[in-house]
Amino acid sequence: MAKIATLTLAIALAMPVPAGAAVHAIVPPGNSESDQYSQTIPGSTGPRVPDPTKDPGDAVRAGALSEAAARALRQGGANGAALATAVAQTTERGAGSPAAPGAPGRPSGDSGLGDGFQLLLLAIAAAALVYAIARRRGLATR
Amino acid sequence: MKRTATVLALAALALATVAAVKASAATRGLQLGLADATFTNGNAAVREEWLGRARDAGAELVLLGVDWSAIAPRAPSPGFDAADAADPAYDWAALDAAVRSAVAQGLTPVLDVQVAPPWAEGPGRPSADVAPPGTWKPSARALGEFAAALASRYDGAFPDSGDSGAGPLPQVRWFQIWAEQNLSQHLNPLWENGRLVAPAHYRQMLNAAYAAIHGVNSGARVLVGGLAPYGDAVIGGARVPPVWFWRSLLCLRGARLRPLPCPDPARFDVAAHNPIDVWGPRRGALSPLDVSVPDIGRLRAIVRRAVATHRALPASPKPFWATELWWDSSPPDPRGVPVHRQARFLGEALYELWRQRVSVAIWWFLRDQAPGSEGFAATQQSGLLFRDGAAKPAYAEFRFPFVARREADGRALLWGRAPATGPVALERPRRSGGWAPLTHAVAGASRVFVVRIAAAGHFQIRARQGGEASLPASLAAGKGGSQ
Repeated sequence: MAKIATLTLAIALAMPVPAGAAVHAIVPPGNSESDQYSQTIPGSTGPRVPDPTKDPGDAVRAGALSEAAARALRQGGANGAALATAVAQTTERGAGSPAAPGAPGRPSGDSGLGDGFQLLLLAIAAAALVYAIARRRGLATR
Repeated sequence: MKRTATVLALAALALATVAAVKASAATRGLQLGLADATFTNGNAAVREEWLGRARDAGAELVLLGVDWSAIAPRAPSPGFDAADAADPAYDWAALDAAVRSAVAQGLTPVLDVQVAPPWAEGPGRPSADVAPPGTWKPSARALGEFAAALASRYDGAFPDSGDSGAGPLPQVRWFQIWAEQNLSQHLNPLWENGRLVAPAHYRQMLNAAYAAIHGVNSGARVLVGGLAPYGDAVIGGARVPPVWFWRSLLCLRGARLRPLPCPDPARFDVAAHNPIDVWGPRRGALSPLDVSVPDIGRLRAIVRRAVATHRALPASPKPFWATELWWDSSPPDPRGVPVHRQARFLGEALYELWRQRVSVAIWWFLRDQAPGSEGFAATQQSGLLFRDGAAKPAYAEFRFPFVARREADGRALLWGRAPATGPVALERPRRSGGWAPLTHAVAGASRVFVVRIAAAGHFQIRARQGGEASLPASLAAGKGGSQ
């Protein structure tokens, strides 16, 4: 049961926070006030393509992992850290709408999985829950 | 007692399986350098004391910042010739002194040009809060003229007006153009109307400096400014991920590195990066757009592709340098890593960089800085030496880095960089105390040695050359290993 709770918590924590609501940063040891060298945790939707009709300042990401979520996962030992890394790296590599083609100087091809990733996480959580309940019932009837 | 005996017996058994497979001198080297604020101190005694300590620590190079805005006149007169190193409006005194002192200590200076004077910045400058002084659209033409003056001043034949009788000023071969130009702290604007513009502007700056420096001294070498390791994958962000910056600089698009039209490709001799890690040196960046110590291959692939497609000139392989590397330590900074871990990170980082064919690694700093007004958070406690000059473990690691790794096939890889050429003894602890010989290596001209041994179990090992020993490394029983 504890495992289920942990998994559910981890997945709940992995849900995105509103764009710009949190700073997802890991800073070098000893330089906590420096923002030059902090590592941000990649977001679920990847870098958005700026809409030329809008202020480019709105091109921000929703985060796949809030700072609290990442911290909680990493404090959960190797598995937690691995999950945090997997969430972050998976979201960064995924397919998405690339930047407008043929635009020199415009980064492209680095978008995330988008909302599909959260659906995938929910599906995994649900499957894990169903499996655990079924297993528990099976054990109880033996 | 019984348990101790069992452990000792197992350790003895493990060590009994050790057999030296080969000891070979690796030809590929890794030169080490240091950066420190004291190297350009106006007080000659202070400057020379710490440069001497840098040499004693085993550094071969020192990175000296060149503040263009401090050397150039604040407001040039109509007759100012920016390309003439002898123009009286220039104030080279501090840099001349630093270069002289470094060379006198047997150190190779690397000059890193930064900070444009106000008159060399572009139009439309915003407030200093948005763009720090010297970062707003630095004029490529003005930078080229300054670079010509800089290279001619240190071409080895320039008369030394400040030190009569000492002959010409020393020759300098290495010139780095800017630093961390993927950060808004150093170059602006990074973006315009949602488009990444800084790399193209920096390309103009780099090419102007390259042409000027090579025009003066064909033996000089030009380094790209090392980029900060982490960016924000956000359009309009204040930190451009290094992979984005490099792709754009070298006219390559997307993860597949498709060549784009590039009428004026980037010209440089050495690729540089600043792999400052937020955690240990064996763990890569979370984002594939960022580049920490183990991720140099991401940049190498981009540069290799650019060379192959003539987006990086001259079209020859580019050496890679790591021009800024550090971890703060505790003590003195309570938020730093423990001093022994700092030493271990240093050694492992050097090995990781060497493994990725990085040819120079520059550690920041030699000596801890004093805490600032806000404590330790905004100053560097990454010294090899404490503020009072006492050595941290990192000092020994810098002088004689030594790393032991368990390889996938179970063998142990022992890597080190000896203080000098010649034989190196590899030793294990004696049960009765002291150290016993295990095998040996030979440090060739590069001083780097690599040995692979068949060895089971978990044990400590160290390298010794003459009377100097490395810090002990621990060889893990399982895969991976660690020092």
